[in-house]
Amino acid sequence: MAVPGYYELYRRSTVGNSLVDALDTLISDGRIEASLAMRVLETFDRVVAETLRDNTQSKLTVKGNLDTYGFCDDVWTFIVKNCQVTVEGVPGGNSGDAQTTVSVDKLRIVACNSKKSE
Amino acid sequence: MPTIRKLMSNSSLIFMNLNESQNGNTSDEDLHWNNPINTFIQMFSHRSSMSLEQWSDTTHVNQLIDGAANSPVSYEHLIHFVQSSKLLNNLLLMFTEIIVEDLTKYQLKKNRRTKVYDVVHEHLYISTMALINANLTMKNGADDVLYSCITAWINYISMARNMSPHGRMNLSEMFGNLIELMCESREETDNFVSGERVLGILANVFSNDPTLMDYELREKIEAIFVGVSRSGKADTSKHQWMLQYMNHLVTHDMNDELKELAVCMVDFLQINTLDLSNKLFTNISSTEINQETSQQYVKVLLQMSNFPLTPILEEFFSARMVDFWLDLADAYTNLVPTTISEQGSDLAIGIFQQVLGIYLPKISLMNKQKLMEHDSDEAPVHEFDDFRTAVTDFIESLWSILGNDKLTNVLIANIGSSSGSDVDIFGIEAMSLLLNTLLTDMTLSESPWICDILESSENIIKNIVLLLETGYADAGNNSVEKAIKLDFVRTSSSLIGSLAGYLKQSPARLSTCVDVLFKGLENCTINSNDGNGDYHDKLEALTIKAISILCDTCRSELSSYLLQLFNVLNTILIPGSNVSSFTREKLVRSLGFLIESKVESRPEEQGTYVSQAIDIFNNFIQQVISMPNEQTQEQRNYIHCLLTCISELGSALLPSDESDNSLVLQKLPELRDFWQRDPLQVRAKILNLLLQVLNNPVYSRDSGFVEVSCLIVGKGLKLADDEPFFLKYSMAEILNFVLDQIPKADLPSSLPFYSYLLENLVNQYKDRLTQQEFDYIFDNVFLKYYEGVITNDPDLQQTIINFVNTILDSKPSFAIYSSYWESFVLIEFAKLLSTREKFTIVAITKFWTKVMNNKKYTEADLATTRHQINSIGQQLIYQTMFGLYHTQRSDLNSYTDLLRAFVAKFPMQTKNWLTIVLPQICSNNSAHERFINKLQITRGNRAAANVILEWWLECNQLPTL
Repeated sequence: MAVPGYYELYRRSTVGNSLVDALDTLISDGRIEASLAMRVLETFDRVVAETLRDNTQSKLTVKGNLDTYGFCDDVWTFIVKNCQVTVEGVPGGNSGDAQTTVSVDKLRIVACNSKKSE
Repeated sequence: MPTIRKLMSNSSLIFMNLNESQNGNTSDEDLHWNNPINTFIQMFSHRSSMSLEQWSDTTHVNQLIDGAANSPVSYEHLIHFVQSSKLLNNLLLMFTEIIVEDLTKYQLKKNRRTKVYDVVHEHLYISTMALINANLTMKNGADDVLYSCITAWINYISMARNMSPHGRMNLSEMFGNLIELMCESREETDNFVSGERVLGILANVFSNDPTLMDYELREKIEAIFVGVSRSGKADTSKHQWMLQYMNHLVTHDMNDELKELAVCMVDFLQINTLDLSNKLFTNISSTEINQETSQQYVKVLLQMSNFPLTPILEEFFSARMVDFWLDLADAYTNLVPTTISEQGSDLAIGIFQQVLGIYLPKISLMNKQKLMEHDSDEAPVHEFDDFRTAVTDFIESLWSILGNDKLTNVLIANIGSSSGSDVDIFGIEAMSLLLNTLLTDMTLSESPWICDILESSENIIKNIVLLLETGYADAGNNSVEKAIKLDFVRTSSSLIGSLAGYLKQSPARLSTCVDVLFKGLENCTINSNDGNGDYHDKLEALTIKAISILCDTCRSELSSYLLQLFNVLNTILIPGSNVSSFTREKLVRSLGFLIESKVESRPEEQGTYVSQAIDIFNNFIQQVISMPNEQTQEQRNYIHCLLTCISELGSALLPSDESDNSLVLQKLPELRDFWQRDPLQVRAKILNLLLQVLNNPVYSRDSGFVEVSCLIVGKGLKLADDEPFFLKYSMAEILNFVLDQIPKADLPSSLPFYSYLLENLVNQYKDRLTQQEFDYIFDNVFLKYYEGVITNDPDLQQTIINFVNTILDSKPSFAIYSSYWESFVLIEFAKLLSTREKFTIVAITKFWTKVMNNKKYTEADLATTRHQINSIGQQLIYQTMFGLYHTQRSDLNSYTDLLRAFVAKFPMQTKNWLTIVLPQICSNNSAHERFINKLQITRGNRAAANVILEWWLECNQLPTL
């Protein structure tokens, strides 16, 4: 169902940054127009949202001290300090035994309403 | 048909373009098009009154279009038109669908004040609703074109109502007709096809934008879905239709449709969770809905979660309803306590106890077994595992409502309630799974009341151990049985790990668990050659994890197992034994935990055990090294594993700040003295062993060996001086080791490990290290290899910059008074500012920021660096801006802090430097001027980043994106 577009927040991910860099190069070389680059990024927003929704089986658990939180424009922001991030269930594995724990000094969580991302 | 669709799509583009201009801005008043549907009807109404020649005459057709473009069509005319031909009706539906699909696709989000929403609202919406409602009530069998059109309009309105006030359009009549149509659908008439299609449309609405449907209509749906009308206004007799439909799906094994129905119903129920929670549990008054009806409603929902069928295989409601119950539990927990009614709390407890009672048998592995036996497809099995995980998440929320009394204690009591032949092993597993989830978040050693409950349960540990033993029992080659047994071991071993805090206080039960775990480990090792290697590897990993947790938590309680552990170690470390490196390393760590607690009598006791363990590793390494044949990959892995074991032993014996072992605290001075003297020469033995292994060029050039060697040598570097530890090497020993090994190493892969070790060394010994020693290290580890190796490798460039950065963080004077500071660091690092490598950019910008802005500076340090920056500032700014101009968009942020530091520390100079250097980089003087002016007055990281981005985009002529 349509609402005003998909979130653009995944453009700041590593893969999103790389895509933007590649599009910049293509525009600079005169191989594509800026409008096409924008269409590509809109498609990227949609595909990332759909893929994360449909194809991820991992579970991520965060434990730490909640330092700051806020809710604005339907977006929650949490800053968690001294936290342990546990990732369970590596995609493709069926044992569920794979578990990785990462210690993070400061973690920023930006949480948007998934039902509005489509 | 594709041609017609294309023509319609072109028309819709014209419609959009004509109406895209903003209100009141239209220059040519004649150029407007209100309603393509009316135009379509008008044009087709003339089709018989015009000859073929007239249709070919452009002038004539243009006149016709001009006349028909905005000519109104009455409701009667429209109805007459659609009833005249099914084809025309369908074409009309298709046309309106294409228009709104295109509108949704292009969204017009760049121009929110566009007129098109207004035009659609005033004209197209009215015609289309008349068209759709006429079709829905015509009773001549709605077809796919109609449903597609409805879906497109729902999607459009869902989007438009967020974009413009004119986007709010009422769909109540259409939804009402859809619901009527759904309830008229029968097996005998249309085989429930219309019902299924309407449910598909409703599912879409409930999952994405449920408020499109108003409250009265949702009440109608509630009565149909659940059979209860909480306000008493809706007709509950229509629930019969739902029962018939569900019966139809079940009897025809229509699993996909059943799943879709479950999703639709639960999405619908979740819309009202907060409201339901308020009505059920609070005093918030309600004139329309009473609590009894709400309770009746919940009763139906409980029944919906409890179909006596296998979840995922035969029914999907229970799996979907977990989300609903979780929402309801969270809604109750979030209520303000003062608003909860007198009986609200008891009611919540009652409801959620029933939910728990329903879900316990649902998550039983017996159901997973049925699923696996029914179908070899893995997808439903994963779905079942997800269901179990969802229930474990739900149980965490339930704890806030039921507490230990009614949840944790009940699970403990039920697990331990049976014995002997009465034990229902699947039931024990399900309860253990949930209990484990609750205990994972508790610290049992600080929860005596839970420990008392555990202690009073006679059979709990027996039954958990029975579950573990059942899991270890031979599963043959039956893949289903293997999977189930693996789950038994997973659940029971995790629970034993979570119970470690309690087992510490119950030595007899601890021994029972440890004995069975060791037996299980032995079984995995013995049977690992029977063709089930992967299965045994998983069992082995789960078992050793539990053993390691128990050894860590119950160190002194398990000290009697030390000799047994040495025996096991001697067995599993044999080169040919079928044990993974992971298990070997974990077992050594477990051994280390037990050795750490061996301080009762004399420190020598601990020393002897450490020495004994090192001798074992040493002996095995010597056996392999002394083999005359060429080194194989297996030998390399084996020796690497044994060295990792030494590192693991060190990690296990690292003194902890939180150690509560009073005996260790008492013996601290003796231990410190013992390990300082190291009478058993443990440190020397280990260092000799490392040097002997690294003497082989194959190993000294292998980064894996370098890594583990550095870990061992640097293990004690972060400890305070007075902490006793067997792996505490002196500064000279570590320095000699590094300087001896570097020339033999493969620098591209190994230098980062040596550099990291040296960073820790400088941090630890910064008060003892002299300037000459620092220069000597810098020269021999980095400068010597700079030209030949480091300059060609961005990773190594990053390594050397990070090393200097660490020094600037711990003791900046080492760096800035180094004899290489001005002659090498400032010159070379300035050049690196224009590098293109992401990681080098991050490191080098951090370096220059630290040089300018460093809290560790003394006044003399500050004066020195200010003077230095002043003299090379223009060159630095040139290199920075040159690098920035040529960098990629994703790396721009790395330069923000550096430019902010320039502006903050050298405001006037920076302005002048920028004014001179920017025209040399690119010619866009207006952009440069704006950039310089804005940068000077900008505060904050984000604002500065925007100024930089703006300049970069303008100079590179790129769009915002």
